[in-house]
Amino acid sequence: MFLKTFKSSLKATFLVLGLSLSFSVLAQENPDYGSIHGNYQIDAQYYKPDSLIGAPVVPEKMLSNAYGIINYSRGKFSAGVRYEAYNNVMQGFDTRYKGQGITNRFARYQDKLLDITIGNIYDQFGSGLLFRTYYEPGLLYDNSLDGVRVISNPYKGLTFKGLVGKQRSFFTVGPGIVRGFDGEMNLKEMLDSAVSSDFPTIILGGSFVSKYQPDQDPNFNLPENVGSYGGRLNIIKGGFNFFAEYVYKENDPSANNSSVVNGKTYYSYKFGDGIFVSTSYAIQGLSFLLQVKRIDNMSYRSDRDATLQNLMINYLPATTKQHTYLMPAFFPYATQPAGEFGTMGEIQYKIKKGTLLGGKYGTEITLNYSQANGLKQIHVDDSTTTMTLYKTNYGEIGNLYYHDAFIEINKKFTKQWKGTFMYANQFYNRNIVQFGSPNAGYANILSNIVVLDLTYKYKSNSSIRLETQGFFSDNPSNPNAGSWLTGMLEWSPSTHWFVAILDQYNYSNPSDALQFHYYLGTAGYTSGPHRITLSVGKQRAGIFCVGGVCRNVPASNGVAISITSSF
Amino acid sequence: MKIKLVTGLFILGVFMTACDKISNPIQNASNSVDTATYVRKVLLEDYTGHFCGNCPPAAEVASQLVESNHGKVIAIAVHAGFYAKLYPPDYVTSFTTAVGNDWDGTQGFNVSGIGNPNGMVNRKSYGGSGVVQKETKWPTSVSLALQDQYVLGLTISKTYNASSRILNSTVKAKFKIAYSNNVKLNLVLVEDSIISEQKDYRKNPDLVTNYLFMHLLRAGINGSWGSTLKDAPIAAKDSVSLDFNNFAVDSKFNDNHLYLVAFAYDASTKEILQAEKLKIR
Repeated sequence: MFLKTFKSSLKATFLVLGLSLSFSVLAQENPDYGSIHGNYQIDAQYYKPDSLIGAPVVPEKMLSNAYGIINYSRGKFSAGVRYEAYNNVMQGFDTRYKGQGITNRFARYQDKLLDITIGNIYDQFGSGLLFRTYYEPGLLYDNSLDGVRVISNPYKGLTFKGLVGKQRSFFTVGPGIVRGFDGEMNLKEMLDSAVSSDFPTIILGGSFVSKYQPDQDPNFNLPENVGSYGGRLNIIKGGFNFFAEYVYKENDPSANNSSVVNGKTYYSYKFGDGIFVSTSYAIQGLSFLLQVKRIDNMSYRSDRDATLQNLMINYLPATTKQHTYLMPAFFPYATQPAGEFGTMGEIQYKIKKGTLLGGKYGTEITLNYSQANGLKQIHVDDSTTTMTLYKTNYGEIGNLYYHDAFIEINKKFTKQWKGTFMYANQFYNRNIVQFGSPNAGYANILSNIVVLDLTYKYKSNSSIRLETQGFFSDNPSNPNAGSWLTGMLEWSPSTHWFVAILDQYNYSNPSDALQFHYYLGTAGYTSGPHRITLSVGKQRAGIFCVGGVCRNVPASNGVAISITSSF
Repeated sequence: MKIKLVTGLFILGVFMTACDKISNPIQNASNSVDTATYVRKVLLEDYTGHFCGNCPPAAEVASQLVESNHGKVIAIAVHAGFYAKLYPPDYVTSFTTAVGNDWDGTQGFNVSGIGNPNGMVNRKSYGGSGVVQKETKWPTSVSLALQDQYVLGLTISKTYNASSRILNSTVKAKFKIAYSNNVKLNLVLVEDSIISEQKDYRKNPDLVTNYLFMHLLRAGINGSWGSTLKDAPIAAKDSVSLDFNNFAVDSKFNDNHLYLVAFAYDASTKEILQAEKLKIR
C-alpha cells in the first residue's frame, strides 16, 4: 500500500518536474527560443437569490468571468493574445460581454529606427485627455485600438507616434475610425552635451486625434470627422514636477451632449476643451501635490451613440483620491465628462524617528483635500441655427459635486504592532454622480468616516489584522441609506494562508427592515504564482470605480471562487 | 534625418485636415416622398420602466418617430427589468409582461442588462453600433430601416366580441421576393393612452402621477418568440395565413385603445422583416 502510494506520488513528482522543467525552459530569457509569459484569472460565483437584500434570481445560478494572457517575445519581436470567456458574465458587469473568444492579439517589431505594432494597441498621449486605451479586467474596461501603430525616434529626445484603427466594443469593434498623431520632444536629451547636467528635464508634446463615423441622421448634419488637438509641457527638476496639458475638441454632437425636448433631439455642436495641471514637490520626508482640472464637453467616443464606458477614446484623469478602505470608498466620485472643475491638494509628511510624535519608528501623516464642481452652463438661444445650446466661462464654477477631506496617519508602534488611522469628511452629489441628472430626487450625502486598522504580527510571517470602520451620515435614500459600521478580522497564520471575516452593518437605515448585516467570510491560499480565494456570504449593492470610471453592482449572496496564476 | 522629420510633419498635416466644422447643424427637410407601393414598415421597441427617470425623453423620441413617419413606424414600449419592478408606495402598477421579460432577458436581447432607456429598431444593427441602441440613434436607424428591401407584406384581420372579450385574429403574409431563412411571426397586444405613475428626472418632484403611456406592450398572443410563418426555402409570391383564435382579452385593458401588432422576423438573424397593426375595435 505504502509502496503503491509512493510509486504514484513519485510518478506525479516526475510529471510535475517534467512540466515545470519544460515551462522553465520556455520562460527563461533564451536567445534561441524567446520567452513566454502570461497570466490567468478565473472568477466564478454561485448566486443565491435573496429578496431581502435585493439579490436577484440568476437563471444560470453560476456565472463566471475568465481571461488568460499569453505573451511571447524574442529579441526585437513580441506578440501576444488574450482569451476571454464569460459564461455568462458575472453580476454588475455589462451583459454585452457574453460568450468567449480571442479579444486581443498583437505583434510588434521594434528596432532603433521604427517600432511597429499591429493588432490591439494600448497607448496614451500625454495625460490621456485626448487619447488613452487601456485594459482594466476588474471593471471589464477595454477600449483597445485594433489597428496599426508606428513609433519613430528620428533624433534623440524626439518621438513621433502615429496610429489608426477601430476600438474594441465587447466581442467586436465600434463603428468609428480613430486616427492619432503625437509628437514629443525632450529638450534635455536633444541638447544633450550642450547643457549642464543640472539643466531641468523639459518635455514638450503635441497631439492630434480625429475620429470618423458616417452621418446617416435624417435630421442633422453631423460632423463625420471630429478632430481634437492639444499641447503639453512637463518640467522635472529634482523633486519638483510640473505637468500641464490643454486640449481642444471640435464640434462633437453625441448621445452624451444631447437632450430631448418634446420628442425632438437637440445635440450640442459646441466645442469641448480641457486643461489639466499637476505640480508636485518632494524632499526627504515631505511631499506636496496640487492638481487642477477643468473639462467641458469632453466625452469623446468613436461612436457618437455610445454610452456608459463604451468606446471612449480619451481618459479624463481623476482629481480625487481613490480610497482602498471600504467605507471611504462607499460613495466614490466619477469624473463628469460633460463639465467639471476639480482640484486636489495633498501633503505627506513623515515625522522623524526618535522625536516625541515620531516615536521609535516614525509617523507618516497624509492630509488631502479634493473637490469637484460642475461648470456653470449659460444657455445660448441658438437651437434653430448653430445649436451650441450653451456656453461656459472660465472662472465661473457650478454646483458642488463632491468633496473629500481626509487625514491618514500610519504608525508603527512596536515590532509587533502597527496601525493606520483615518478620518474623512465627504460630500457626494448623488443625483449628478450616480444618476446624471440634477433632479433625480436623491439627497446629497454628507458623511463622516473613521477607519482604524491595527495589525499584530505575532511571528515573523504570521499576523492578525483588525479593521474597524464607521460611515456616519443621515442619507435618507436607499439603497444603502443611513450609517454603517464595518468590522473585519483577518488572520494570516503563514505566508500561504489567510482567513478573514467581514461584517458590514447598516445599523441606522431609516427602514428597520433594511438594517442588515452583510457577512462575508473569505479564505485564501497563495503559493508561488498561484492564488486561490474562496468567499461565502453577502455583498451589498454598491458602486465600483477605477480611475474615475464606475459601474453599479447589485447585491449578491452566494459562494465565489477566484483563481489567479502567472508564469 | 530631415526626411523623417518632413514625413512626420506631412503625416501631421494629413491628420489636421481630418475634422469637419459644421455651421448649419440642421438639415433642410427633404421633400422626397416615398412613392413605393410596397412599404416596409419599421418596428421600434422602447425598453423602459416606470421607475426609470431618464426614460420619458426616449418615449417622446419614439412617439415623434411614429408621428412623423405617417404609419410607417410602429412602436412598442416594453416595460421590463430593474426599473419596471414595483416600488411601493408610489410605483405600484405593473406593466411587465411575460413576453417583454423574455425579450429583455439574457436569453433575449438583454436590453435592461445594458441599461435603460434603450431600444431596438427592427432588432437589427444599423451603422455597426449594435442591435440595442440609445434613443439618439433611433432616428438614423429608422430612416435606414425604411430603405431596407421589402421582403413580405402582412395583413391582419380580426373578429372581436366586446362582451365576451374574445379576440380571433388572422394574419396573412405574402412574400414579394424569395427568402433563404425561416421566417417566424409574432402577434402581440398593445395599448395606448394609459395614465399611471412615471419617474421623470426633468420634473421636480420627479414623480409624475398622470403620465401618459403610449403603445404599451400588454400581452403576447402566440408566445414570446411567435409561430412559424414559413420555413425556407421561400419563393417569391408564396403566401401564408395563420389563425389565432379564442384569445381572452384581460378585463383590465381598455379595449377601445387596444390594437394588434404583428411582425415577421428572420428566425436566424432575428431581424424584423415587416410589421403591421390593427385596432381591435
